[in-house]
Amino acid sequence: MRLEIGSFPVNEVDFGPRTFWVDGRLQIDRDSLLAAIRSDARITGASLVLVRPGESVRVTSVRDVLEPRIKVQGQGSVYPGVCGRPVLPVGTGRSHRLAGIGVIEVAELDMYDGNDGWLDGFIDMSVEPVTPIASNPNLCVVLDVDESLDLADRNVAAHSAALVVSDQLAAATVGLEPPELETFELAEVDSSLPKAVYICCFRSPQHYSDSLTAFWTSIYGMSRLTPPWVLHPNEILDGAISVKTSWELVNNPTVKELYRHHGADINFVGCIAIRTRWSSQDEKDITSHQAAKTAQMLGAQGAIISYDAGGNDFMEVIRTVQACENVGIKTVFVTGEEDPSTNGPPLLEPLPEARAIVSTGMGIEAGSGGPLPPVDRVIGQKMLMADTSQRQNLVPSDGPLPGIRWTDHYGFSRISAFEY
Amino acid sequence: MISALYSLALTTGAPRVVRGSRIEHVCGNPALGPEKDAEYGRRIIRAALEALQTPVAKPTLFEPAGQPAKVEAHAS
Repeated sequence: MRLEIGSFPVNEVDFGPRTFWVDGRLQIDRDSLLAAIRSDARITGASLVLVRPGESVRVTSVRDVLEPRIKVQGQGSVYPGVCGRPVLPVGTGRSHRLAGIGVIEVAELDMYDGNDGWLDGFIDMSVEPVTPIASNPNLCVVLDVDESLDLADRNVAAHSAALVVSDQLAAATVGLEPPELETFELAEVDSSLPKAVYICCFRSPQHYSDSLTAFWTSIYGMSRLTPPWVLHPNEILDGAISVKTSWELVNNPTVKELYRHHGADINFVGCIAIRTRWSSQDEKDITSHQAAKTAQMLGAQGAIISYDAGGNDFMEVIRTVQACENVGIKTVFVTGEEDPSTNGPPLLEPLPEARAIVSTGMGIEAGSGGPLPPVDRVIGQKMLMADTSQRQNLVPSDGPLPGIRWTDHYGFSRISAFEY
Repeated sequence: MISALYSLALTTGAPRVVRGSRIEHVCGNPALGPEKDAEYGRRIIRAALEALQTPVAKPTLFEPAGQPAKVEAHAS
């Protein structure tokens, strides 16, 4: 499976009479994009707003950030399976990407009806950026969706609109030679090199939404609880896992780094994606054991394990670490830490098998870079939860906020340590 | 402690742990129907009451007598 990714850097971006990319400059035809979005009767209002690093603006009601990408050769479509896109396996041929811009999907719309289905994250463009998203200019796609539709349909409508924008921006690169072209292929390498697998774990909304199709991070469009998937890393780079944090998912630094080491000091044998937030001990244990068994069948001697959610999910993730170690696969666990103010251990269940741990920080007030100063402008919901555990306790989105809200699951952050 | 995640309860040192049903309904299973659900709940509580009267030296798992047949809770 061979995938070429052509990168078109975006150093300058503005609105103008037509959409094109030339020499690092992206011009966006706002009117034609808006016309394309509004041609969907489910969308009752839409606007496009550019936000730039350093601007006194906070983007709330963030449902996803897409990196504009397009398949220019080979089967399938980037971000496959969501909103009716083809489900053919991706990861071959050539894809183009606009590097250095995000498409932020903004709509005041719960992801699903149920615990944690609400939106409480935000992107602050005003402070020194610590994440790649706030370091880039972003095009916000701000949407109103027909309220007579049910929530699931409204979600599909909103995400479809964001995909229209992402697709049309990326289409500006079709027929152009990319300034940077990388080839991703798991070529045969020296068989004596240690074999490594990447096990990435994704929260499923099924338990909290009581729905098999709740809108959330999906694998080929499926968000439900499923047994472990074996994925080629190229599928991940082509957006086989998307929604909620698509930008991070297609730029996953662990996948890229494992590729860099492939053939040099390791043999990267593939990826295993597991769904988390099963609701019984047996289901959690099955997931962990099957992930370890799958890694073993791939011949892995080492595994890097990351996840994207909280305490409930941690159970099957830490047990995947344990199950791998128990079958002789060495692990490195990439995880955030618990808030020390709880007086508990830094890991919810510090199993002794987790011996090599990379901490990606805490993502909450204690020890974070907060408080964040007030901003001039908010795009999205005007009130935010003061504390993610108390949905009723709201504060103005443009006021001072306690600090960084969520853990940086993949280690993108530029903050490596705080001295105190 | 009655817990659906009994392994966590055991590794974090709870002395007496009773195997619960699922996170969303620890002391029962609505998919069984009202009568069997209540009966299952009673078995779990009875196991907990018996556990309380049992001396333990280390974290110990107690099984409710006669686990019910497994029923898919999300058959939607």
